[in-house]
Amino acid sequence: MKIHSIQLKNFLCYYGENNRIDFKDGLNLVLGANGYGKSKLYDAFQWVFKDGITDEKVTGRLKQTEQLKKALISDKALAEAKIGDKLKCEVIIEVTLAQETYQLIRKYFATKQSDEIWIEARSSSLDVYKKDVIHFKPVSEDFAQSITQKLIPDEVMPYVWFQGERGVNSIIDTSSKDSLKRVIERLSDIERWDEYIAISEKAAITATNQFNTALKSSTRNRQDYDDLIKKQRDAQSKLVICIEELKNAQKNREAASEKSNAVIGKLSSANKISLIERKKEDKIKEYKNVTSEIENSHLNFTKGLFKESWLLMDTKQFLLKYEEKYNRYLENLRIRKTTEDLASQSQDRLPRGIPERMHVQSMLDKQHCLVCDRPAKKGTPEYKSIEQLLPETATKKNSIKDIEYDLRKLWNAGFTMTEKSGRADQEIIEAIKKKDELVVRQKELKDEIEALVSSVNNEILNSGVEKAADIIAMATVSNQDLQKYSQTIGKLERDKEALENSLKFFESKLKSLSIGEIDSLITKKMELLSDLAQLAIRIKATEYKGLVDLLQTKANEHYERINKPTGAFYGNIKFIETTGGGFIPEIFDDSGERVSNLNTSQTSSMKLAIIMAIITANHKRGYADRYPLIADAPISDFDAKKAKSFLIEASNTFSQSIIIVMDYLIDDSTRTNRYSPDGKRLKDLRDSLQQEGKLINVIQLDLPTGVVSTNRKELSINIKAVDLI
Amino acid sequence: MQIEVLRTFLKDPEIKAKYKIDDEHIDSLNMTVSEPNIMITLVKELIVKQAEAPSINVAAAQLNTVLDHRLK
Repeated sequence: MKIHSIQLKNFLCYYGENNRIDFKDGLNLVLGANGYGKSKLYDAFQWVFKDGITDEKVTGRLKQTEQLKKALISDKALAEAKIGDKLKCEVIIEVTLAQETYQLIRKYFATKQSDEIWIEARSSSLDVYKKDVIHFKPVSEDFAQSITQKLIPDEVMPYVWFQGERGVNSIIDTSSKDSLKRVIERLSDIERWDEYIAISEKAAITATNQFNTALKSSTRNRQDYDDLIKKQRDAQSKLVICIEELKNAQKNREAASEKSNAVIGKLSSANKISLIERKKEDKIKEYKNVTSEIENSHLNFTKGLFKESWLLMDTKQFLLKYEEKYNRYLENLRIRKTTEDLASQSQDRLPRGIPERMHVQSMLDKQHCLVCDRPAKKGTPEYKSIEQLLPETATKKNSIKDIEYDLRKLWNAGFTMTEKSGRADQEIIEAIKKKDELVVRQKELKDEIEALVSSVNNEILNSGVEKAADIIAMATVSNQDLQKYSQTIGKLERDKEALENSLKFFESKLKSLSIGEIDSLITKKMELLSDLAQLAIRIKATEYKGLVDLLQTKANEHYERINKPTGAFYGNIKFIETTGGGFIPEIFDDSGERVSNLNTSQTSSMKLAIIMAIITANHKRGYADRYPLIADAPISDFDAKKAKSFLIEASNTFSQSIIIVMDYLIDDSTRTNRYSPDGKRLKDLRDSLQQEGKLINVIQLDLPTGVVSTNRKELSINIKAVDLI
Repeated sequence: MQIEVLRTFLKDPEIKAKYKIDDEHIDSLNMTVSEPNIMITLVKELIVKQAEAPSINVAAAQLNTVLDHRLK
């Protein structure tokens, strides 16, 4: 199919009848800013072919005319309608198929009955006309019914007509193992191979039944036959059970595989997050220890003032002064003692302690000296002399001794402390140094912890993995399940093979019994049809693998051509097989490592490359020539270089492509809030396309002066062909 | 298209060996010309019946009939 033109009459924002776009072979680039009718243009194609437009609320679903009714008609036309007016909304697409030109015209009507009431048609109508030399003539109703399927079959449409990232996602869902399987099945002959298998197996069963009936009716070797049939049936029953168990085990393994696949993409990030978390925990622990050490060092420093006598720093002078006084005291004490000793030696007094205290006290009480038997009145010198004989004198002497002892102790203590305070400088420096080191380490740890927290947050943001531990646990459990079911499957497959071999043996034995008994035609037919069924099974498996390999090769060719010019890393696509025949596309780097955390640009280009591969892999079927690409906003995730390489690749893949973008526009310096085509970039694109032998046709969607896209009752679109000369 | 499918079937080494089909023979195949090799005939019929028969059961029965005639 080649699309020649589209005319939009009062369709959505395309007010009036003068809205026509002529398309050419090669790349048709439609430029429009947001609100300038890009998506409505895409909707116009969908409306004609599928009688619906994109449902903004449900991805991949269309809102049909029956739901939309007069909402399909331009708001401006509705606003301008007078009571009694019958408004027509119409889209005409002119196409060529197999050298015949057709017009597909979809119409919808609504009549304004009053200011509030509209009579709305229940549905739209599609009229098809075929060009006959000059004029278009209506085709038969049957032909009209089938024309859209002929032009673009339902199974092809999603791959060549799509809208933005949402559209691409709905076709190639990288998280679904069935997505690529569906692609391969839809766009290949694989379903036909399933039919070959079904027909040949059915034919083989018929021939086997015919053979068994004939064998049963023969009389020779009856006992052997009965034994073999019994064994055969027994083996068949066991085989049925074995196959059932195998299917269950495969289902279980598939479920485990799905679980594993669901987390495998996140496992690398989860492990990374877990590792960082562990590092963070270690650092936090160390931080707490260091903080505690700092607190202790502060406390120890304060204690050290007393314990280590740091308070006595520079107090040695006091000790020296004390020492001097103490020495003086000792000298005085010594002189006094010497004097006392001399007095004692002169024997002018009674010896100390004689008479005893009680006798002295008795003499004082009687005021009479019993030693010399003379009166000693109180207050007289005699009385005082007796009083001096009291032991207080000795007590006084003792207390002097005690003071001396205490003073000596004080001196010793002071000496010790002064000694210690001499080391205080060094000790304080060391204590402060240690504390400073701890504070520095504390700050380092705080920074390291903050960096690790930030790193975890970034990883979570990029990967979407919030609970890394859960992901790791799920991956571990599903991997254990996978291993367990794989072992079960291995055993059941061996059992199945053994049972199948037994059946083959019984079959061959039965055949040998039949020699001469059964018509060789029946035997030969059974053998041929059995071989045919086995052949169909083998070929389907080979073909399927070939298709996957081809799709992967083609996808990588497109992927490389889209990404290489950007200079950024892109890797290569691999289709990873899952159990149950599914595939998940993933990106690997040159060393064979899977690349996780792809950005949206990489993901989009991978999906677009796969879509292109579907077209090029079906080269023999002429998909690229038969179906034009119509894509709305496919390059919204791409930078300028990648957008350009994608457009070139699309042009090289499809004979005709209609790509609607908001790219390649710049602010219009002559008009307020308007855009004009970016001539420089467009010419650069045109030159690159010319080098590839491809053509470009550029159309701009613009708004009339004074119109704003938000005022729908005033909205209309100007369609302009852009001249790149 | 059908001839391509036929050639795809006959690429299988097991079937080539058992029914003595060589590459030269495969290259010279034609969907319309009668074929002496019975396996090639059978595969051809499978391809044609799959495309034309109204159901799998009918196609399977027709394959049996083809062989009944051919093996007589």
